[in-house]
Amino acid sequence: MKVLVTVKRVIDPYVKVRVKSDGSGVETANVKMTMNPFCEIGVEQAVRMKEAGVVSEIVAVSVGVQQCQETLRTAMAMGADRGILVETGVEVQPLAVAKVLQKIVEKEQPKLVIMGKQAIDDDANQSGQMLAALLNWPQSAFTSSITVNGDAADVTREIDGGLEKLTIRLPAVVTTDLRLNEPRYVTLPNIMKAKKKPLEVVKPDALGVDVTPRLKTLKVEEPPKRSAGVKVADVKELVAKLKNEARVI
Amino acid sequence: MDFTLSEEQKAFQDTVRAFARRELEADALKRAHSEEYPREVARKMAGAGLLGITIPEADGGQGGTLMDAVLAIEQVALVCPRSADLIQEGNFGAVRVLARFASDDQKKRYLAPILSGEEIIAVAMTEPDAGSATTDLATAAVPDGAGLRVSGTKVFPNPHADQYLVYVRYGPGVDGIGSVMIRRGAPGFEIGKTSHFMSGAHWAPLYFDNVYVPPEDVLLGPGGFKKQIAGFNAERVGNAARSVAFGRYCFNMARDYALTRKQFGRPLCEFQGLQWKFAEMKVKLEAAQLLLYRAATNADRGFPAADETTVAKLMCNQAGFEVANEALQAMGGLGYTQETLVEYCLRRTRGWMIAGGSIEMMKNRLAEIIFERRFSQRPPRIKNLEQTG
Repeated sequence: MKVLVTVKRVIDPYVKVRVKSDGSGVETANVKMTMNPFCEIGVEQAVRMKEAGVVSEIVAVSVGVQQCQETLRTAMAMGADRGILVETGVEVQPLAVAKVLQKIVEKEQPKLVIMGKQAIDDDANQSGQMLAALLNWPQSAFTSSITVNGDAADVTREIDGGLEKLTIRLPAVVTTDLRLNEPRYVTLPNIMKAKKKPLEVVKPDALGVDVTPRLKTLKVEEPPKRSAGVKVADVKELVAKLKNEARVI
Repeated sequence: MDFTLSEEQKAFQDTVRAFARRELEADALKRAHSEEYPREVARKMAGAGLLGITIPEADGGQGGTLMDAVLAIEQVALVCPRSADLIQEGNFGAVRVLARFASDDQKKRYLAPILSGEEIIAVAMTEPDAGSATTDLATAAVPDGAGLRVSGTKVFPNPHADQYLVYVRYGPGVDGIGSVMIRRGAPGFEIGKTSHFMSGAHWAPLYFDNVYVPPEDVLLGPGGFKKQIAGFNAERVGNAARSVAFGRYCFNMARDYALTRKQFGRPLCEFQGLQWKFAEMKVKLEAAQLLLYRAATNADRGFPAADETTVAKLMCNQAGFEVANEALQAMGGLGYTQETLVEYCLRRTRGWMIAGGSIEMMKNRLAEIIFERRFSQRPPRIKNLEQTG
């Protein structure tokens, strides 16, 4: 079966993010970028399923700027067979991504779409659910295990109350949680092989999708600086402070 | 000229950085001060494809370039300085000699377990009376049937290795030198009392008392020394890369400290005396790194690299040590404690001014390159004196 995995290019989690002086967003010029860690888990899952003989082809898809090709190359170095970049310079929002992916899914006809549950930049946690809705496919968000059984998959979901076990019909959309797997490190020979794998670039217009942002960001600002805390002598003082100063109890 | 890394080099740098952060960062301080040899790191590195980077895939390596190996050792050193030693051993030293000169059978028995992270190799070359004057080495290999009997003493190698690449003398002169492989535990091979280097790492003398070496464990016969010494250029690149990377590690620590530490009511970075120190450190690191990258890149292109490697080693060793020293000074008392690895890096960078060809030997070599003449450091032979006298 064919699997589609999505990869988003985000600011490296080790970078200290700086807000632009005009408050229009965060600084991304000359900032180290990397693959969204949840997407990495998604790629790893697809590769493991291919290694286990469950999956025959892995197609990696990214939506964004031209440099997303680097992210796709990383996915291919991990084991994806080919890449598709839907190239656009505009800020892509979750619904636009879902619409683009819907078109790619219609063209590629995968039996499974694996996506990160959210991206570490905007933490929106929406594209996967929106895609499942647009396709009218079953979905399993926050997945920590997947086992494919013919035309269905047994999944475990990390939900607020604990773990939920479900069986979903395929084709389906699955979004990954942190504990699904530990992604591999790409090796030098695989980086060199990835260079030769096919990478197709298409524009949203060619797919008939209007990716113009529907939401407007009014202002981005730094979180307020935390002031130093105080030490309390005993529980009595703590309770008094929580009651009278913080007024939380 | 192009001073930017290729997309593939950047991707490899990213993956090594990710590996180092996830697998090595948490225990970096503990590992540097531990008495244990970090074998588990070699296994992790093997799993991530970081051993044998320059060795062909057919021999179990990664089929990369010397520059790739330099990028890897830098990224590891910047996160966990101690672990960079495993990159050195798995990429720059004896493994390259094995990959180049070992028979298929030797590759299977000696190279393969190193690349899988199961075994550690060390070079036994220096002797009590043969340091910089390497070719004075006296450990003798005499024929015994089809094999050899080896007797002699070596100093300074890692006593925790499983296999030793031992330089031996088959006959007189430079052409009489070659090498053999001897395993830990071979009858007649004794590892002496373990001592510490200033770096904290261990060394011990090795005693070979009539150790039998079967013919299949002879790596290079008489005349092998000259072939093998070419491998030193690669080893020097690894040693130089660690010097600069350790200097940069200290620079990064001191920079972060200078941004947050306040004295006399202002952050350290606002004092001009420190600003100039940091500017000078940056220049030293970047100059050294460029010379290093030039040597590594040109070696990959097959150019003769002896002079570029020598310049790079000299510059990197000095820059690494000087920057570590200045960074420690900028960090004051904290830099002098073992709560950070700045003092550790200072001790380590000091060692590379001696190991792998001392900076003085590098200068001697450069003088020969500059004047296109050979300057023997030996006194005139007695015989010659008699003839002239």
